[in-house]
Amino acid sequence: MSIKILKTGILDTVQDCGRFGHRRLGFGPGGPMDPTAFMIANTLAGNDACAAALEFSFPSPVLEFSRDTVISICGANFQPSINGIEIDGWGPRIIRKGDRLSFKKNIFGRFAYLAVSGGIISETILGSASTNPKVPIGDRCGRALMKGETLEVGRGSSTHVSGKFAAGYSIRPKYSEAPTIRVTPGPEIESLDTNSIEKLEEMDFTVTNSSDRMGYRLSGNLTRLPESSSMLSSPVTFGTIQAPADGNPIVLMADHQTTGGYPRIAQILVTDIPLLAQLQPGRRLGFKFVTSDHAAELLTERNRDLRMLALASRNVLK
Amino acid sequence: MSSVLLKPPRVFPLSENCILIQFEDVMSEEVHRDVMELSRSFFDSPLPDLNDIVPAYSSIALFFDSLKPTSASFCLKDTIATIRTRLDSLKNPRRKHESGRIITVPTRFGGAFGKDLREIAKVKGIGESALIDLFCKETYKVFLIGFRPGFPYMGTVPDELAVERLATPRANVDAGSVGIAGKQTGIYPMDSPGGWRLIGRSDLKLLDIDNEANPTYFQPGDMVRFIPI
Repeated sequence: MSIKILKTGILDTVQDCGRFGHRRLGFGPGGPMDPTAFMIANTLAGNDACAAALEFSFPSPVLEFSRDTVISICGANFQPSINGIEIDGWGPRIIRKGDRLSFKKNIFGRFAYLAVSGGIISETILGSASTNPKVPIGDRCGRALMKGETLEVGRGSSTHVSGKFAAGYSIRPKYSEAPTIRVTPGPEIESLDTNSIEKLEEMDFTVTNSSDRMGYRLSGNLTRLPESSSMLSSPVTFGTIQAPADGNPIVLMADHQTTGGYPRIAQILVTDIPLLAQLQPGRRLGFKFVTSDHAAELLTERNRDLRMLALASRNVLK
Repeated sequence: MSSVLLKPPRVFPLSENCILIQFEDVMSEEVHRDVMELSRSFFDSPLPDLNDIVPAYSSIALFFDSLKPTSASFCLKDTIATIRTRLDSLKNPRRKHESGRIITVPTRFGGAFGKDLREIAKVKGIGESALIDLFCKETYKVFLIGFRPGFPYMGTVPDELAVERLATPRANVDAGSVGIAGKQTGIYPMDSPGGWRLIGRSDLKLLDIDNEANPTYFQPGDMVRFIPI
């Protein structure tokens, strides 16, 4: 079973849940920009949540399938179509031998995921297929997909879906055109000023054009205390919000560096990272602080939801 | 107090899957020794679900496997408590933190190889060759690898040469470039954007991804000398 790339999108990469265990040598985890949508896509296709799948943006690739199989498309809504006929995302879909999958229009978001039953067979480097063309590292020597090449798919594929089935809205990320994103206070929150938490919650930020898989630069108007400029490089992670001196925060995204020298003012919740990841430049957002205990509970809940979804998927896939 | 650590560090979460251990926030051999000592204890006897360790100048990040739906066992609160207990009981340090390796880095200084060398010499009021001598006299310690895969953060650059980062980072810095930022020096493993002041360039290949056992040329704890060529 294989999938042929008839046309490439602007950035089509193979991802899995990420590369772990090598941060101390400067290798960040990489992985999907919207991990929740990625894991839902895999689960709906009957795969392990972290199986290798395709991440793409808009303009999107055009793909042709060599055999009947089950796919699912989650994350951004780029109006998926099979042979020109629109299909819904967020559910398992049968695709037939010779069918063409294309994406017509960018309705919402930046990163979509295609999971194929059986998972994409990929080359792993340092334990992961996650692809970062800027290093380069990952599947296909770390490069994006090219026109004419094929993605091989693992065996044991399902080819049947009984009834109509979709991931419920309660387990999908709560996407919004102007989201309020939940954060916990960062280690250097006090490098802002005394009322930083209240101020940060009142402020509006805008996603700028300087935003890619490595980080999203926001425009804002943070004021930093003058003595906070000489911090030592310290560990950072996906969702860390840094405050450079110019007042425009940087949110570190999937391909983030492992350490950074700017004050870490806040940390976006794992459950809310997808809300930011899907925002196009020009979109506005706000922040709301929660406790780290609450953040941990929300992650536990999300993981429980994903396990329930896996059970339900097993019953509809044949 | 039974702990061998100089000063007890603070332990708190950075994110749902990351716990930070923060020592006194200074670049010093002593603090870094504690960082390496404690990191080693986590490598030697890992905690459950631990999947990544980042020793930095004055802090350690411990990452846990809690992001996958199958990771039902991880509990942030309990793990913080476990780490605190371990800090208190850390005994019998081996106190051997350097990798024992001394690595020489042949470097071309100045001109097109080190575009900021002339400017630094001017600002510091010393000749370019005196600056190179001063820089090469030191043996630098790799405190950590970060920023990009294989990028060594080294110290300590003599006060006479310490310069701030560029106000606006360069869009591209060539692989092999040797830079200074404050009292740190580093070598860019690949072409990338960067704001460090460039003084030279080396031909060393700092990254070999196909060598899975040892993908980076440098490791934390290495001692480094620069040799002008």
